[in-house]
Amino acid sequence: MADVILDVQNLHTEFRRNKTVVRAVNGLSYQVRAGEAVAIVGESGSGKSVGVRSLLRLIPAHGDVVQGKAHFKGIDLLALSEKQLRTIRGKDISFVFQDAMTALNPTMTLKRQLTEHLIWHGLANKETATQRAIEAMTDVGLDRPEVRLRQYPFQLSGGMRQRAMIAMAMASRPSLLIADEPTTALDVTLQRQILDILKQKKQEGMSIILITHDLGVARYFCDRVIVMYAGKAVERAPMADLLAEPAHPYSTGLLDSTLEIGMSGQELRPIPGNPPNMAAIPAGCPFAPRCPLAEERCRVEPQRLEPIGPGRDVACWKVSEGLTTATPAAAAQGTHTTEMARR
Amino acid sequence: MVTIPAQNPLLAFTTQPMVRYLAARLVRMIFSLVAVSIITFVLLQMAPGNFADIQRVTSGASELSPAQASEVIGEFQTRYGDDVPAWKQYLKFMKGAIVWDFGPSYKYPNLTVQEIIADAFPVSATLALISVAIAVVIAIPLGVLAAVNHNRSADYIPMFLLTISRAIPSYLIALFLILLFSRQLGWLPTRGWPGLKESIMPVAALSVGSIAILARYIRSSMLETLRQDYIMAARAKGGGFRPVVFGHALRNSLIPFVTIVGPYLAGLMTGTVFIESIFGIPGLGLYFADAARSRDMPLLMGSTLFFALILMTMNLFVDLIYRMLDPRIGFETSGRR
Amino acid sequence: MAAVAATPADLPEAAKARGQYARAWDRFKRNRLALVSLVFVALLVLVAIFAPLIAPYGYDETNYAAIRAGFNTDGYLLGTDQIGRDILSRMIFSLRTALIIAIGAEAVAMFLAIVIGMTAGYMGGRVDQWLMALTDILFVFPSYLLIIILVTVFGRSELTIFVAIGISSWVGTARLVRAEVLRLRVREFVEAGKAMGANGPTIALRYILPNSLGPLLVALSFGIPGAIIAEAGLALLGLGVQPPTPSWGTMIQEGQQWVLVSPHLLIWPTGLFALTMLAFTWIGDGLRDAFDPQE
Repeated sequence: MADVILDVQNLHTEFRRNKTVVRAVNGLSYQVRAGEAVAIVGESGSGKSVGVRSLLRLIPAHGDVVQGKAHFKGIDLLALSEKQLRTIRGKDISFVFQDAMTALNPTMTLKRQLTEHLIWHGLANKETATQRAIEAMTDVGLDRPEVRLRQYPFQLSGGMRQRAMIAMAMASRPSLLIADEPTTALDVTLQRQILDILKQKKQEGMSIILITHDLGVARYFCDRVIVMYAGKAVERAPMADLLAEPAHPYSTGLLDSTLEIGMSGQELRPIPGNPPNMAAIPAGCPFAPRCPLAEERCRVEPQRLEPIGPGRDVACWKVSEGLTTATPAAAAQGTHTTEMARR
Repeated sequence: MVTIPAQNPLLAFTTQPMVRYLAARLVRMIFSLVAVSIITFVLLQMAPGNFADIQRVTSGASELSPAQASEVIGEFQTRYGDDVPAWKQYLKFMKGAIVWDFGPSYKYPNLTVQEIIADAFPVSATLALISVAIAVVIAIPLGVLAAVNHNRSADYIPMFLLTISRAIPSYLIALFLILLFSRQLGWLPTRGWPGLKESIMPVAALSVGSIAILARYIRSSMLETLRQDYIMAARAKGGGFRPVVFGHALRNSLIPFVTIVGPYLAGLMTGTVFIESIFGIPGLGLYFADAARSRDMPLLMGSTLFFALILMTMNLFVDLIYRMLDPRIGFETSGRR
Repeated sequence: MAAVAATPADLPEAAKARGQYARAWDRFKRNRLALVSLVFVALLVLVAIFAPLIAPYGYDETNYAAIRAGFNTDGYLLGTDQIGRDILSRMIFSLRTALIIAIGAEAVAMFLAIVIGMTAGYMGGRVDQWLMALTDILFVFPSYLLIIILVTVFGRSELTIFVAIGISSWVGTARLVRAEVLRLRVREFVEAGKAMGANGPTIALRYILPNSLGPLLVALSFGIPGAIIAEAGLALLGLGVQPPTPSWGTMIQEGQQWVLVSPHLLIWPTGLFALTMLAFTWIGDGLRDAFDPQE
C-alpha cells in the first residue's frame, strides 16, 4: 500500500549475557499507515517494547538487532548507521515513555528539555525553539507554558509531567509517535486525559504506535492491533474485529483479563501460567503450555501468521484451518490466581 | 541531632528557608567546635606534665631577648600557670580563640599560634588545591571514559591500574617517586619549597592517589546515571554522544561528585602532613607534627580547632553548592552529613 | 520463654544467612586476584606469627662491621641498614608489629562501632540522637590529628598506638551498623524473636549481627590496611612505636634519610608494604563484589 510509512519485516532482536541468548523479538512483522494508530499489545516480556525500540536501536548495549528490515518512508532503519539514525530519532519518529518522572531529566528545566532536540535537528534556533515548545505545550493542554518552561520536572504534577513529555515528543512535529505504555503510571482519570491527547493527535493525521498491556487502553483510539506473544505477533487485526471476535486463544485470554476503562463489574479472567522463558522458547506454539485448546500438534509445529479475513491474520492452525473460530471464553481455565502482569 | 528547635524566637524572624538553614548550620558548627575544643583540651590535660612545665623546658631553646622572654613567660603564667585551674585555663583559651588569639606557641615563643597558622596554612592549602585540581581534571575524563566503555578494555585497564594507586598511601607514592626521580634519574630535588621543580613530586604524590579515588567515584556515579530512563529519552530525541554524555549524564553525575570532592579536599589539607614532612614543606601539617613531638599545646589546640573549622566550612560550602546544583533539594529539609 | 537456643522462627533465617555467606564465598572464590591476595596475606600472617623462627637475625642485632651492606653480602640476603641490622629480619619482625597494630586497632574500632551503632539503632530516640551527635563531632575531627594527639598524650607503645588508631576510626562503621540495625529490626525474624521474649542484647547479637556480617567484613578488610598505613604514617612523623621495636614506618623513615646513598634501605620495606596494601585492596574489592554483586 502506498501510504504505509513503516514496514517492519521479520525483526529479530537478541540479548546476550555470558552464554545465554535471550531472543526478545523473534520474527516480528507489522505495518503502520499514515494517520493510523496501531496498538501492540501483550504481557510484559512479550517483546513489544523491544520490538519498537529496536527500530531506532534504542536498546541496551548487550542487545543486538540480528535480522530483519524496517522501512520507514522507504529507508531501511536497520541498515542505517548510528549517526544517520540520530537524524531520525526525535525528528521524524518520537518516543513517549511510561514514566515522565524518570524519563525527564530531573536537573534540567523543561525549556532545555523541550527545545534542545529542535536545535540538534536544526528545526529551530534558540528563540523559535522556545516558541515551538510553547505551542506544543499549549497543544497538550498545559496551562501557562511560559511559567512551566522555567520549572523542573519535580515541580509539576504527574499528569502535567506526562503532558510535558508528550509536548517534548511533539515539538519536532514527527510523522510517527511511539508511545510506550504512556498511561500505565497514571490513575484512571489522568489516563483518559492523556489518551484524549493522543487520539486528537491521530485525528490531526499523525501515525501512532501505542504499546500497552491493556486492551482497554488500546481500543480507545487505535485502528488496528497487533497481539504479541513470546517475541512475535500471534494475531493482527482491525481493532473492532478483535474486540468483537478474538481469533487467537491468547487474544481471547487477553481480552478476558482486561478491565475496561471506566467500566467495572465485569468478571476478570486472568490467563493461567506464565510467559515462556525467552532464553528457551518452546519448539511449537509458544502459547501451547498455557492454551486451553492445545493439542500435540501445537507443541511440535511452529505456527505462522495465516490470513483469516480482511486485514486480519492469526498464528494458530486451529483457527486458520477453520477448526475453531473465535475461541470460546475459556471455561476450562482453572481458577489460577496468576494475575496478568500489570506492566 | 543537634539542631536548633524551630520555636527558637531568634529564628522566628527569619522566614527565609535559606537563612534559617544557614543559621541552623552555623549553630551546629559552633557546637561542634566547642565539642572538639573540649575533647582536645581534656586529652591534652591528661598528658604528663602541664603546659607551664613544658614551657619552662623548651623556652631555653628559643632565641628570645630577656625582655621578650619574660613577657612571654608572664603570658603563659596567666594563661596556663600552675595556680590556674584547668577549667579556667580552658575558658581563657576559648576567650582568646573567639577573637582569633591562641596566644604564643611553646616551641616558637616569639610567634603566636595564629601567626604560625597564617604562615603555614596557605602552603598546605596551595599544595592540596593544586593536587586536587589536577586530580579532578584527570579523574573526570578517565571516569567518564571508563563508564561509557563499561565492561570493555577501556574500562577495566585504567580501573585496574588505578587500583594500585588507590591501595598505596600517598607517602609511599612519594617515596617511590623520590627513588625514581631523585635517586635513579637525578632529575628532581628531594626537598625544598616553593619552586616548580621542587613541587612536582609532592603534588604528584598527592594527586596520584586522588585520581584513583575520584575517577572510581565518577565512574560508578556515571554508570548509575547512564542507566536512567532520561538518558534513553535523550537518545530517543536524537541526542548524540556529546549532548547525552556531557549535557545530561555528566552533569547529573557531578552533583554527587561535588559532595565528596569538598570533604576530600578538606581532608587533604590536613592529610598533607606526611607529604610535608617527607619533602620538608613548611605547611601546617609539618608544624602540627612538630607540635605533637614537642608537645606544643597551644599550637596543637589552635591548629586542631582550625582544621575542624576548615573541614566544617568546607562541608557547609559543599552542601550549599549541592543544593544549588540539584534543584530538587531545597533548604526546607535540614540535611545531615 | 527462656533465652532461646534455636527457635523455630530463627532456624530458616539462620539457614538463609548461612546461604548468603556461602553464595558470597562462591563469588569471592571466582575472583582470582582476590583469592591470590588472600593466600598472600595468610602467608604474611604466618611469617609474622613465626617470626623468631624464620628471621635469620634478631631485629636489633647490630653489626658495625657491615653497615648498609648491599644485596646478598656477608650473609645478609637483603643487606643491612645504617647500623648494620639485617633488613630481612627487621622486615619480618615489622610484619609482627603491623599485625598487632592492625588486629588491635580493628578490635577496638569494631567493638566501639558495634556497641555504639547497635545501641543507637536499637534504642532509637534520645540515645540515638546523642550518639549520632558524637559521631558528627568525630566526623569533623580530622582522624590523623586525633591519632597524633592521642599518641602525644598516651605515649608510643604498641598498645596506645592501636588504641589511638581504633578510637579514631570507628565512626564510619558505627553508622553502617546503625543503618543495618534499622534495616533489620523490622524484619519478621527479629519480630519473632521479640515475641518470644528475647531481650535487646540477645536480639542484637543473635538475630541482627549474624545478618550484617557482610558489610562489617568489607569494612574490616579496608580497616586493617588503614590501620597499618596509619601506624607507618605515625612512624614517618617520628611518632610511631618506640625503637628498637621494628615497624615498616620506622624502617621507611630511617631509609628515607639514606635514599640517595643506599636506596635499598627504602626499597625492600616500601616494596613489601605496597604489595601488602595492594593485596588488602584486592581482598576488600573482592569481598564487596561478593556481598553486593549489583555492579
